[in-house]
Amino acid sequence: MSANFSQKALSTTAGYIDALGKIVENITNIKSVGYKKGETTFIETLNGEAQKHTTRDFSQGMLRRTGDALDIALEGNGFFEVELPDGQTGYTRAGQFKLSSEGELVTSDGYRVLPQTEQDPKVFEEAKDGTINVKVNTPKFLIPADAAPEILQDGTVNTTNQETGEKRKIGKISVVAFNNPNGLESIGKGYYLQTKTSGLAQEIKTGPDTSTKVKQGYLEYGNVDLATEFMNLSQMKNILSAHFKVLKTLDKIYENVNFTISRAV
Amino acid sequence: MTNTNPYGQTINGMLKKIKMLEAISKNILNINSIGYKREIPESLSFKSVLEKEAALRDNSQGQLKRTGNTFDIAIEGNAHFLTETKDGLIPSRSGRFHLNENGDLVTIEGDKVVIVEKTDKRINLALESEIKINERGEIIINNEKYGRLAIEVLDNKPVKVHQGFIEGSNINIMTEMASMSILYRSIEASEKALGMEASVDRDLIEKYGRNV
Repeated sequence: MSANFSQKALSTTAGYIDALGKIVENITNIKSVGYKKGETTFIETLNGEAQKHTTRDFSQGMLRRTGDALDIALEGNGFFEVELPDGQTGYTRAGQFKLSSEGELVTSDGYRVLPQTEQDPKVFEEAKDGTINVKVNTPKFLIPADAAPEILQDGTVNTTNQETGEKRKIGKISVVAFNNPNGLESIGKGYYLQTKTSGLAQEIKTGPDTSTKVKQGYLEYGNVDLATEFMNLSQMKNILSAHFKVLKTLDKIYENVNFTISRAV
Repeated sequence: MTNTNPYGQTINGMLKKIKMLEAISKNILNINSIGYKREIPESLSFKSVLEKEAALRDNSQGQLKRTGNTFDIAIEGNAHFLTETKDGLIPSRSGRFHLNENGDLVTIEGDKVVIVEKTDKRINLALESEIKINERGEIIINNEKYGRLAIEVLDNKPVKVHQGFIEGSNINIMTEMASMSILYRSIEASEKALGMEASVDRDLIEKYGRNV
């Protein structure tokens, strides 16, 4: 009878405690570049408990002007492509880029930013003994230290030679989108990995006339609204105390039943 | 004693009250669930308790909360969306949708939302930025109709669809807490009555059994 029911109450309460944790995470990351807030949705299941679903809200975060030539923000849908140290492709919206010691465009953690490629980056090489080696040849973003990089709204990176004033195209930053960004696997620090549920990475159009723009000199901060988070926090707290009251009532009923029945015997 | 089974009625009463308490606890647990409808803690007959009959639901409108997300859709009025599950079409009012890996509109549990009058054009919703859903539930992309959300209307009253909103539950925590404490006291009273009946029996046995 109600033994089963207090179990339901308990699991719902546990879900709410997790939701509180998510809110704390959101508030902590309010200034994190490229952070997307976590949301918890509760839905009634067939047996009456409230099941929690954690999703990420990929809506636009606030853009702040920094003036740094290598701070790049995305306005609209999409992710930058980066190469993780283990060779996998990661996706991020944190555009706080810098130059590596070799003059290559890397993220703040030193991961290479991948440019758009026209041809297949895989190169097949036949070795002397007849085996075929596959070499992945991704073009690099090499920016000379003396040239000022200029990034257009469609992601094209140009450099201007300080002496001659000559412009040279270096490459185009690759911007991709997913059918279901919620299915991406978060690996921390604002990096995501493609999964089965996210769908494949699709290249999207960027530029002044499209919905996605690459903005130089801006950073995208977390899309967290402090007022909403605090409102949710206090609401969750009150709901949790209501849940504790339910548990307490069930406990008291057990206590009374035991007391009455033990006295009657 | 005139009544042969004095405990039966009291226990039945307690069972019913516990059933009511379950309904109230369910309401309190689901106070934040999207589209949840209040279960009415009604004192059901003992027979229906045994048969686990479906409880009565209060189908009044829940509060609409603004979220601003494109695929958060709330229904105003007595109607629901239809979702495709492995058990066939299932009605749902929890309108927090998103896209799955194939670009289909799905509910938070991953069930496909039924869209009727769909265009033949191949449009990937994930790559579109201007998606509007009007009050009739029609999805409009760049001023062109993409399709219409299948909505089952349950009465004659007008139904409106709101984009960027979610429907909260229609529960008032005040009422639920008050009825929970009243019910708790009432269960306590039943227990007292049970104890009293038991002690009456015990006294009778002790008093008249002594002479035998």
